Amino acid sequence: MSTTIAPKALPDSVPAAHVVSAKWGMAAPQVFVVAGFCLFFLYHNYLPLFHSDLWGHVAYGDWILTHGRLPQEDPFTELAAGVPLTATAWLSQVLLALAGRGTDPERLAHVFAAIGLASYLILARTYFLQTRWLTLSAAGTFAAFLVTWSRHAVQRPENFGLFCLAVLLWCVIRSDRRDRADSWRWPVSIGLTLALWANLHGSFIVGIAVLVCWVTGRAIDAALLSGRLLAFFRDATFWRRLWCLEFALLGSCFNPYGFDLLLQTLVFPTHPNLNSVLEWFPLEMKSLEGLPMALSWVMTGVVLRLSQRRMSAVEVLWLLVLNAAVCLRVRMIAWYGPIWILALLPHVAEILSRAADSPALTSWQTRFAAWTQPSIHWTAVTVLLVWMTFAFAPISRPVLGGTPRRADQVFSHETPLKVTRYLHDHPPSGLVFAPQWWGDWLTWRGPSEIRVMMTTNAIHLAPPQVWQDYLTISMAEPGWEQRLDRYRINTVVASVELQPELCRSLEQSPDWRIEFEDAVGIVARRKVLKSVALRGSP
Amino acid sequence: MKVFREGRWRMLALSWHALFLISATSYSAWRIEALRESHLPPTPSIEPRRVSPRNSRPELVDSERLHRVLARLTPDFGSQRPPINFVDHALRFWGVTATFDGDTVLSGAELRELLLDHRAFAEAWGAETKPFLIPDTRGDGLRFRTRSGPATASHVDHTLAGLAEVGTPLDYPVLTPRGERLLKDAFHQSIREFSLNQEEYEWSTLVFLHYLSDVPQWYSSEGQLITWDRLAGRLMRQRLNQGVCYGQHRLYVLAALLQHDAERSCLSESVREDIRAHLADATARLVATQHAEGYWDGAWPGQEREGSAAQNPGPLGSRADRLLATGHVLEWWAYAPPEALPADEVLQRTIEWLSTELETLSAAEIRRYYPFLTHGGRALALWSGQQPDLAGADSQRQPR
Repeated sequence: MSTTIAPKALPDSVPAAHVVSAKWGMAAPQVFVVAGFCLFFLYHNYLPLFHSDLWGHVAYGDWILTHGRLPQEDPFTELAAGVPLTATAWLSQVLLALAGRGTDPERLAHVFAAIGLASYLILARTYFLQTRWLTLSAAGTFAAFLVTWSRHAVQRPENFGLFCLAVLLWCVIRSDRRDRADSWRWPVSIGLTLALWANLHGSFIVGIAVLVCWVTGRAIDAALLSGRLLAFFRDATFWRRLWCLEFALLGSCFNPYGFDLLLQTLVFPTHPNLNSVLEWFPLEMKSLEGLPMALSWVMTGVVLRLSQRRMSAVEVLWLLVLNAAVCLRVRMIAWYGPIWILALLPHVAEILSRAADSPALTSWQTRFAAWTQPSIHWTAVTVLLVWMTFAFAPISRPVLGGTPRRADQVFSHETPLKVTRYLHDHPPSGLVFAPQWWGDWLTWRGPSEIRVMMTTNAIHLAPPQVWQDYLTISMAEPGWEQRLDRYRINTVVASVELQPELCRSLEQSPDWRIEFEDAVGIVARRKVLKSVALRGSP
Repeated sequence: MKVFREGRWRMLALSWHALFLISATSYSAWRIEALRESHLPPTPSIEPRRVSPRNSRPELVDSERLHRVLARLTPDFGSQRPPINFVDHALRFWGVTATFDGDTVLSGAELRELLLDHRAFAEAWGAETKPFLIPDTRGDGLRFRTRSGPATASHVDHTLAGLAEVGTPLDYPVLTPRGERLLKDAFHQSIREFSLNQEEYEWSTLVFLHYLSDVPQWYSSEGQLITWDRLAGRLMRQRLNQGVCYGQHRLYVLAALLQHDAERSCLSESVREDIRAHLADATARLVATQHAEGYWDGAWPGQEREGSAAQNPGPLGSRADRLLATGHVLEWWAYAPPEALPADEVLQRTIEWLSTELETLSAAEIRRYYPFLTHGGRALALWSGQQPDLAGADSQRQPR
């Protein structure tokens, strides 16, 4: 069943076409895998830029580039003034700002498509290193993508985190393959990966957790296999992995905050404001994350039941830790998918390799033998596929030319483009209430002097009182008008789709007037009350 | 030799791992403790700082008339159940040293006892009433029951601010239903629960001004760095007549903050100027909107960015509104910087109207409006150049 294309020993005298085929030829399964990745890239390159915190990150990066230093407090949310800021994603933000500055925001889409493709290619390579089975590793990569489907449209520094996770997993699997050789290469590589990750995104803590499981699991395995509790003392692999973990910890301290970043990242999920943010909720089965998680549990059960391969303690720990993380905070599913496949794929390979000996599969293999033979024709098809992907993807426009896509194609449909134009034409004074997911956008694309009450990037910085008041206004709960008074907010921007109560309340309120409205959002301003004749002498 | 070398490297590696583990653990513990300590609440002064009035015009206040007015405002609540709101206003008005003739008139010490001794409270309100003092059984907190009826304080931190204004030290004993505590516990509770954006913040700022006068900044339990600049910004953020008593308490605290700044330089230059401009603007509006008779009401700010304030009479009626607004205005002007002071004619009109009203109110009206009236009475005494207990010394023993 294996579709691995191993180079064959050539006889002394063979036609040149055969030599080329043997060296450059590809088989049909490889073409399908490449086609899959082409589709993946095309899809992601066409994904509209999300209307939420992406723009806050771009604005942060721009601030860092402009000021030449990291912000100490949130530079865009005055209500969070005095709350120390740890810029856990400063390097990603700078990269995003470099891409997002200028007149072509579509470059951001190119960055996300490229980083996504790179991440999944590395994951595929990692799975291939585990199984030496191309189609299976491609299928595993696809499964990892499907499990994390709910986050596939995320365009954030988290994408850089996924890239780092892929690199780390590759290092982990690769170092296990070359156990004794290159003994210092892998600790150093892993240390450098974590150093990069710690500056790109706070998810580096997941990397540390993966490595802790990797080390601890090895110690447990050594004890279980030898029957002696302290067997790991004499286990070279354990010590090599420990070096890797230590280098990773040291590497993660190479950031502007040093060791404090690790502590801040650990306490970050305990911030009370995150309790009302969907992606920080515990797992709910009836949700976009619940279904794939349930399926993954069923698949894990079936695979482990059928597999005759021993399950290592590392695999158990990885699954336990990541499952617990997803159950507690649903956004952790982004890291669960790739690691779940990493733990499960060797077992799937073992089951399939046994099944490959069955007569039915043998005859199937014989029937399609020609498809698995390397051929320069398949290579030509592959090159054509790659070229077509590039040509049809927006990323080729700077090279091949073409008409830029319309704004409503580049930006997600919930992006308040007309609202923003209206605000540019009628700049608001004072603090503006806008949904936090638009706060980021308005900070970046709104009038230069705009002051918004909340942004997505400030949720964990805003004092809890401010966040609760924001939620009260956002959902037009009793007291929403008093909250607007308390912050002296005279302009409200609301989302028609996601804040219908607020839109309705503003329409019905005698103190507010809707000044602009489209299918996406409204802009309301406080009515200036009629001058009341004062009884006092002037 | 090779074995020896290998053994030596193994020992070195083992030492490194042990060293790494110990260093990482101890450094983590140290950093966690350091970060925790940096966010601990500040240490308050035991003795409260005094905020003194900076203005007086004895020539504008008729002392005979003042005595008559003050005599009408003695804390004779005439009932077994003196509302806490009346008690803490009376305490702030008269101070702890005040004494009066008559069995039903409470002295300053008795007023404070009602607030800080559960036995006195239970005697006045009965055992079935929920205690005014709520000690935190798990920590060092002490809460004053607030905004839950007449047996509770009417505003957040109002009682503590009043106690601070009359000079109560934080080591003053407080007898709660669960034993003795110190007033310091109430301060800790206040600072722990303080949020810069809470609904009522005027008295909390006043509490900090009295007990944290030496502390330039601290972290709130929300993780926000609280500075005097930030507190001033909060006091100036809302529309002028928003907040308790038509926003006049905010102006009073701002004036007190400026006074504190003159001694300790706690404000930045720009915020200092902002406060001065804000107070001067408030006074200009007050001068413009003063009624010919000398009073104001809730519409005192006139036109603002958002238009003029709505003129809905308060629940006690127009007269109460006027007494409320006018008494408070005259009171904060006693603390105002020179640039925020009105002309003497304006003061004269205000004093005249307020004195006349306080003299002509019926006994029932005085009982009804008592908390408002204490501000007016105190203001008149301060403008006469004395504290109320001294200004009213001759009057206190006169029959009411």
